[in-house]
Amino acid sequence: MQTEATAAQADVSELDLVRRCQAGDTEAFDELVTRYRTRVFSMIYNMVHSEQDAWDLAQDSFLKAWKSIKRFRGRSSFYTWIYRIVMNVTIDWLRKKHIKGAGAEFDDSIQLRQVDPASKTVPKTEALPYEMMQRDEIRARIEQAIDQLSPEHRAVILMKELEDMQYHEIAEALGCSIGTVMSRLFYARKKLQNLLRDVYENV
Amino acid sequence: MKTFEEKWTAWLDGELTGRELSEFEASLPDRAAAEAEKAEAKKVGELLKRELGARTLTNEEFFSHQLRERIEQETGEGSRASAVRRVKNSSWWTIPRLAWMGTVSLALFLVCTFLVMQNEKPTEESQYLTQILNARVDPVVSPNATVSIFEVKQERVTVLWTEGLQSLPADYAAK
Amino acid sequence: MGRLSAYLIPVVALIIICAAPDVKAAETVWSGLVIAENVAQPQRIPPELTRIEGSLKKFFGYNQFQVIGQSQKTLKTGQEDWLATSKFFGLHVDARGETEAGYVLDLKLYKEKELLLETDAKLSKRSPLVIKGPQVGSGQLLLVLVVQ
Repeated sequence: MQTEATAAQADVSELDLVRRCQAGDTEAFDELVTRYRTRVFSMIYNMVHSEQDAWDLAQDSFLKAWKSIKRFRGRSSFYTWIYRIVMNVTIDWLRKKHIKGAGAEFDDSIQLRQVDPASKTVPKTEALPYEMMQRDEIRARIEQAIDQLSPEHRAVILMKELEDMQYHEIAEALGCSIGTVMSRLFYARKKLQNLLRDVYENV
Repeated sequence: MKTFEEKWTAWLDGELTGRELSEFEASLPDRAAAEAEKAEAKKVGELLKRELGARTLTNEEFFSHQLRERIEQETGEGSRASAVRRVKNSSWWTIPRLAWMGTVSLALFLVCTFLVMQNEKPTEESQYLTQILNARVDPVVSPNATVSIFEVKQERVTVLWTEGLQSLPADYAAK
Repeated sequence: MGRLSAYLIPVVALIIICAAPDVKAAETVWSGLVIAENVAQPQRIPPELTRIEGSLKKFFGYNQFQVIGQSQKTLKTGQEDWLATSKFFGLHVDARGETEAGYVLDLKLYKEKELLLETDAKLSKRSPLVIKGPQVGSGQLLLVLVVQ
């Protein structure tokens, strides 16, 4: 586990790399790409579920980051800053592809006044014995469920559950308020609970 | 003022503390059911983390290489664009001077071309044809592939001929 | 003075050019990923392939050759590098040695992350190497390497 000292040192070295990038040093940018390329690719893949598209979008994101590196002021971590670019690129792409959920998309303007936390609003799907499910089938079910979320809901649930990002980091990456992040998490979790109940109950 | 959804999310993630936490828990109509719901939400999170996890970026060096090329391309185009934008004003170069320099430069060019052409040696050619020392295809990727070698002596071309590689869709012809 | 410099500068330049030693340009290897196919109205062959146009048409039976990726690099013994690349293909080289006759190369053709083909070759000067790759749609992928 990284100590505070080594984490601070890593931040300093990253800041140094960013400064060098801002001066036009492509080798420094290469180093940053090496540090983040797998995480960026993985994040995008979990949003779009296509290796080829994830590759292209990751490339586009880094290219955009290079072009706008001079605008990075160091107010947030570089990691959060690049995630903002990644999310903009990916969500724009998803919107253009008109990927919509099978049911109604979550509309943030519609708020439930009162929700019984224990209510199950969607009938349970027929349970499949876990023994019959292969790993890739589970993955396919999860991806199908995530596909039913809007791009913004997809982004918050993946950043929270897979990247362990804090609310304010997610808010910064998506350019929205912390309250909106929390609200989207609420609905995204509810929907995935209903869609994947038979999967996680049988694990 | 936090909405119910915001408080619920914060409670689920263990972000509620102190008075806010006790007030929220007191407001829940069925604490046991809420705790069960919380446990289910955590299971969803664990499921996502376990099953999705980190997707490997295979051939990551190629990824970086391709990105570097794109950046170089963009940088090159940018430099050319800014060079075009630079405008110089000079008052020394009048039209007669330009015409005179143009004539002198043309004469010099013709003289130099003549001299250089006289000095130029014919391009070196090796007496040897390109040789294939050995060739192999990945038997896992292409189990039925074969390799042959042909030489076209007159045009000095060596061809490594493969058969049985997997056919690909037209999309793979992208630049 | 102005008229004198207008005469002097070109004369000095001429003297320098004629006195300059005959400098041999560094050799480079041109590599190209080419899609060969038969079309109703073929485009002109790219200039890099003009010299071997006859061989390509005779051997492969196609009437159009389009370059989808290319590079021109100076190879240094002991160094690895990527040569021609396209969206899905990459040609990797490991320069093993150089002789008067040409370059000893280890070439690897990748389709995304998969290694399709590997070959060790002695690439001679002015003796192009053409490698037949997989069928792509209605066309054929070819790799061409030439020492220039």
